[in-house]
Amino acid sequence: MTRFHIFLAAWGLSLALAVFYIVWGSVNDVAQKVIARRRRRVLEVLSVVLFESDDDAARVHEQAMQMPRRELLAVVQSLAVDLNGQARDRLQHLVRALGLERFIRRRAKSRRWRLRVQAAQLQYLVDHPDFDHRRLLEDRHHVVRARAAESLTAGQAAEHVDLLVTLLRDDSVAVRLAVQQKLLDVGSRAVPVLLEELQGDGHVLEVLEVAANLADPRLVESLVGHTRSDDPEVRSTAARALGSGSGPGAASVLDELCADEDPEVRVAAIDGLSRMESQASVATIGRALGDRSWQVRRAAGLALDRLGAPGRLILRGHLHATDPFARDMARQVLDAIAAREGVVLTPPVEDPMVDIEAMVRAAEEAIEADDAAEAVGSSAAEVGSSAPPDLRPTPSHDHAPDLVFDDAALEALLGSPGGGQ
Amino acid sequence: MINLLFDSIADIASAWVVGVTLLQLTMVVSAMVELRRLRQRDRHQVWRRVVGSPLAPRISVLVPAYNEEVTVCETVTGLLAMSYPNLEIVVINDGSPDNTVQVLIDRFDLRAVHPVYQRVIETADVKSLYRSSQEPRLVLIDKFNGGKADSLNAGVNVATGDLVCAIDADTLVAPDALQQLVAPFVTDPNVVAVGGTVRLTNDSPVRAARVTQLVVPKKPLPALQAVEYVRAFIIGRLGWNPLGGNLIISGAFGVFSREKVLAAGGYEHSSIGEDMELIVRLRRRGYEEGESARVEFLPDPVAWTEAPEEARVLARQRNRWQRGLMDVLLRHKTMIFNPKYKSAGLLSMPFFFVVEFLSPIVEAISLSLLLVGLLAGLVDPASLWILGAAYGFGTAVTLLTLWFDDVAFHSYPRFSFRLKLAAYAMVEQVIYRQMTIVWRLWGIRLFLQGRTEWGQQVRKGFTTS
Repeated sequence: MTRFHIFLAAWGLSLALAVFYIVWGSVNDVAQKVIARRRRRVLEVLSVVLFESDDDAARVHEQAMQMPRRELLAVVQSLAVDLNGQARDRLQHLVRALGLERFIRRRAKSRRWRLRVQAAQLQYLVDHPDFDHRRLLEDRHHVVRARAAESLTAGQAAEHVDLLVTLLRDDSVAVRLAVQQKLLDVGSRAVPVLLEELQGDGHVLEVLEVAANLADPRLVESLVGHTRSDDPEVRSTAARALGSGSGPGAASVLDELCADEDPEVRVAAIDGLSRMESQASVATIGRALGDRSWQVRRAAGLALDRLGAPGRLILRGHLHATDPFARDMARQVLDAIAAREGVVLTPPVEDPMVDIEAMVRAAEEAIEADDAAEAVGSSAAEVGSSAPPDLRPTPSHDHAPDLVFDDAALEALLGSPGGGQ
Repeated sequence: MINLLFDSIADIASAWVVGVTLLQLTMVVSAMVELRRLRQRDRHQVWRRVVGSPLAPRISVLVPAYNEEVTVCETVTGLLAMSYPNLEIVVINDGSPDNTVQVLIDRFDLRAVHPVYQRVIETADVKSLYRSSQEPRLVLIDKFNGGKADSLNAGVNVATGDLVCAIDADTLVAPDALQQLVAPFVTDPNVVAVGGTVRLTNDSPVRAARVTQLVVPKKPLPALQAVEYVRAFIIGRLGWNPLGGNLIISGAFGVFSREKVLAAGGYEHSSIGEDMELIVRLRRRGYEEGESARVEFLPDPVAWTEAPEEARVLARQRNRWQRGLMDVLLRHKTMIFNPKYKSAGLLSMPFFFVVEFLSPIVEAISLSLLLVGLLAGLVDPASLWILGAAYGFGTAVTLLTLWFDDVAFHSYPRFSFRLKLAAYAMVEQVIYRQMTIVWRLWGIRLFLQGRTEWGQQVRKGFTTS
């Protein structure tokens, strides 16, 4: 073979590949178009069967029976699992009439996991008493378990909630996430089983994650127990779960957790207190503005913002704190509020020290006297008034030149700081 | 002696081209295996639903913008329309002299706010931070000029997501792209970065910040780049997944663990190839600290970007890429052939050194000597057939990747598109390849002179319909 022949062979190969690429692509285009047309037709017929009047549905019944099975299966699989009411009944009826229910049951027992996955995807259509949803949820292949958990209707999931809760400990992340999501769909019906699980000694993190999103007051007692766990991740998740509900005693537990040794736990507790709008905790949260962890200081600043006027009072007091970290965070949050609400909240930096003690006392007294609304109103009025350049509250204003805020004063006022510097 | 040397020049050049092409063919096979695995996983994945739930990790999309007034609004609109549920968009204006900030302020009704964030990584000073009154997920950082790496670092500082997604301001992203890119982070805690495919928008119609149909660019230069991008993403990215992971996540579209990026000190300011440098550093830190640091590439999540249409702009881009590559290879030279860094040290880094760095040098020297030899009558003209055959073999591999792309993604679904792509693939090896060699050599020269500037980018804007 000469060099020229090698050249010809190489470029001949390229040319052949180019022709193959163009021809194959064109044939594939035609095939894709045919499939798309069939699928569109299936969708049109199905939409009448599922959503139109009984007469219309009956009219296209014959067409529905003659739909190509492959495309029908693909469409049915892609339909939302939360298809319910009359539409679901009609789809079940159609599936039964076409003999697909038997097909799904057979696939659920297949030896090949890919076929069992198909059954798992379609199981929401099967209400036959012989059909064992648990079998798919307990399948040996993790993809089948995940799909089975994902595809259950809320009603089917409620029937198997005990099994779903045990699957929260599955080795596969996909299964755990699918189950967590499904338990959230089940809602309060899952609470009794979750409670049992929380009382066990096992791994509870995923259960706590679900509890945090369910926000059910029945869980509070059990969650409180987990705030004393040795594992900081468990404590912080329990704190988050407590904060998302509003059970009795939750606020005082979260108050205590603000002094936890782990910053993640302190952040979760502060967030929780602000979500619960626990205005009685402003002092505790205010202390956290000087925490050694930036994340905790940030959480405290944002929490005080969420708590409204009493929180903002504390923030403004900290504008003159000797602790530069607390001062900086208070200014940042107040500036953010100012930009959002179009009001000036931060006095010029060169202002004299203000009496934070009096401000904190004023806020606490206002809350204790169940007069928070009035306090909010008066503070807001001050903030919104044309008072600049001096926006400090009146009670402290008179004494401002005499009183200097420092760490000792804050400690005396607020007690020993939990996570302070 | 001289005659012998010149006689063997054509053979050496041919052997080199064939050798590189064989390496590429290996990567095509590897890519095929990987794509089959990903398709199987994707078919049965539950992520599309799960990451649509409250359990989805928060992603901050970082959009560094320098003189991007033409495309930035379209990009941000596209990002805001993404279906990902827990999203934050952080646009970083890197001291643009044009109206990038003003067009964003006008379009999204932005207002200045005082930021509550921690400056973990040192960056050029931030002038102002804006939030939108219409769209709470949007944040604009207006900062003094510090380069792309500096902008990304400012974005990482301000971002509140668990993950950060770096994209270019002229990039459009598919609506479900983030859902898919998040999946590897959820399943594998060792994953530090995930990248997706980038395709070219030139002449493709864009409606509501979405590419409605991918078309082959009309002009030859972008069309040749379209062929090149298909090959690069299949051979240069997907093929690396089963061989120990990637060293490159396109700067135009990639997701990173924010915690890992912060721990690594962010993007390197002084590096011109900051995206590749960060990936190599993350992987290197992983090996040195005894943790696995995986970098994955997913072919399905697609982003679209505009390719340079003028030769001088393309030349600047390519020489910058070459300088970036050299910078990374030099910074991390101790990794090359070092078994301590496993696949990165024994496979990826040597591959980049040989194929991406040495290739233009060897090819340029061989072709120059060949030309001189032919003019001086020292080389037998028949030896050119072998060199031509080597390029023919390269063309065959390119066509194979085009077919592979069609089977897997059906990207260019028309007879006319395929005809054009096949035609461009046929000429790419004998015209375009030599042009890129010249640009890359120019990059090597500038790198040796210590030049690190980016050069001006020219944006045409998307073809809206």
